[in-house]
Amino acid sequence: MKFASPQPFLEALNAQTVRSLLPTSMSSAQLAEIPARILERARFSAKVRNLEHLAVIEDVSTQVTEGSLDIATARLRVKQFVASTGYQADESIRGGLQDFLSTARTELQVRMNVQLAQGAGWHQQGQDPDILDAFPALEFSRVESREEPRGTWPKSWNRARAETITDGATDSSTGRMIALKGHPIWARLSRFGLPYEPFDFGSGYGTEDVRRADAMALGLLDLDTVIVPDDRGFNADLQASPAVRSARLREAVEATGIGRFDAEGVLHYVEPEGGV
Amino acid sequence: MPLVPIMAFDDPRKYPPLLRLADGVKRPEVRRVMGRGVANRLRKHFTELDSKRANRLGGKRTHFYGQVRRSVQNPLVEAPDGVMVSINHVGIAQRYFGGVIEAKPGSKLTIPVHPEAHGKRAREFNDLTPIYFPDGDGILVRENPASPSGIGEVYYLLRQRVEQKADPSVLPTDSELETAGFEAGEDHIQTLVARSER
Repeated sequence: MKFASPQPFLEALNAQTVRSLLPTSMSSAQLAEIPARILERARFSAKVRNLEHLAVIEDVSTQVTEGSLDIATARLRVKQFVASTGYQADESIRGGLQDFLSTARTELQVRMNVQLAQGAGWHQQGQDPDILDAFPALEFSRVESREEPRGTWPKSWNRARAETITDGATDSSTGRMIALKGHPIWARLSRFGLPYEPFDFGSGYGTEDVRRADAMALGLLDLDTVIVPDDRGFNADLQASPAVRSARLREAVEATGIGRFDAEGVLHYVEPEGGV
Repeated sequence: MPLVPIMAFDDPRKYPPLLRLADGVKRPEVRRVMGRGVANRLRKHFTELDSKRANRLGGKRTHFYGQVRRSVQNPLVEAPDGVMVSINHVGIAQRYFGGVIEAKPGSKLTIPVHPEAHGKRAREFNDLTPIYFPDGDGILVRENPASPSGIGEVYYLLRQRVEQKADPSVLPTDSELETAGFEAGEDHIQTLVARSER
């Protein structure tokens, strides 16, 4: 086997670049109310109001995605930045996910950012019509081992299938969870509303291509079915400057009515009744 | 460093029948499909390694091979008959090729030897004490009166250099990757033929 020089993971890096930094006082549960298409353009971390903090997370996540930094060093750099601000977590939350300095929190921040970029990149690279023709479906299965598997995915799969379209997706009772690429089940299955990995925090499940012959044998499509490519619009977004992208994102978030930006550019939750 | 294997489908004697008849390997659209088959085989291999190779120290798993799987890119076609897959993970080339890692001048490599140290940088701990030996190597110790020695536990070894053995098994064999490419290409040509025959 021969080897060549590394190629940048452009589609994944683009997915990182189009995301504008979004300082916020909102919790992760509140952020989850923002539509996926908007969140896909935002880099946020629950309760992080410091733009520089988000920039450090962005920087190290990009380097991990490029393949030039390991996750432990990335995590260390985030911790070093947070420590340099004089931050100290309250005793009651120390070491947990709400503690900006904890290993649990920094690990999650880096891993999620990297995995979302890689998921978007692999998804985008697979939108070639010939690849979609040859591998028109995806199988949802375990891709990373877990000591204590949740065991809830088959049930979630069938619920997502029932809530979207049953055609083009298998029932999990068949022993396999397979659906056509572009099927709405993928976004419905995802905690983040996105049709690619990761599908939840810390999930060991992911997707792999299914050959056309196998998908046809399962009755998911016929010989002539065409899978339409899904363009997430990252390339188009990159035509705009970061300032324009950021302004668009802020407008889109405020238009949802979920949050409002203050004079410092920090997003705050707006109660459904109307009070900030 | 990332690892970028190139697969050359350059031996026509190995081509499956339809791929040979259609001269498919020369067609970029077929080769893109073959490349996808190769990338899928790589991802499957890394999933298998993730389930088989937990860290030896027994600490919290970092899922190294799960990370590697997610860093596999869709291949690029390489003229005239190859595909190139970039695996953008910082540690995979070192595992494959092995080799010497040298500490920067004035510093030491920190080699985790304690389950709690696995997947962590030594600087993430603020209570480790260095102990140096006359030969320049050393250890990082965490005080623990309850430990077998009554003093503490060793978390890291401090070394000037380490030599890692090459491990080609972190990638599938050439033959496995080639088969994956051929199967994907042959399947695709079969689909195209089936459509044209109606």
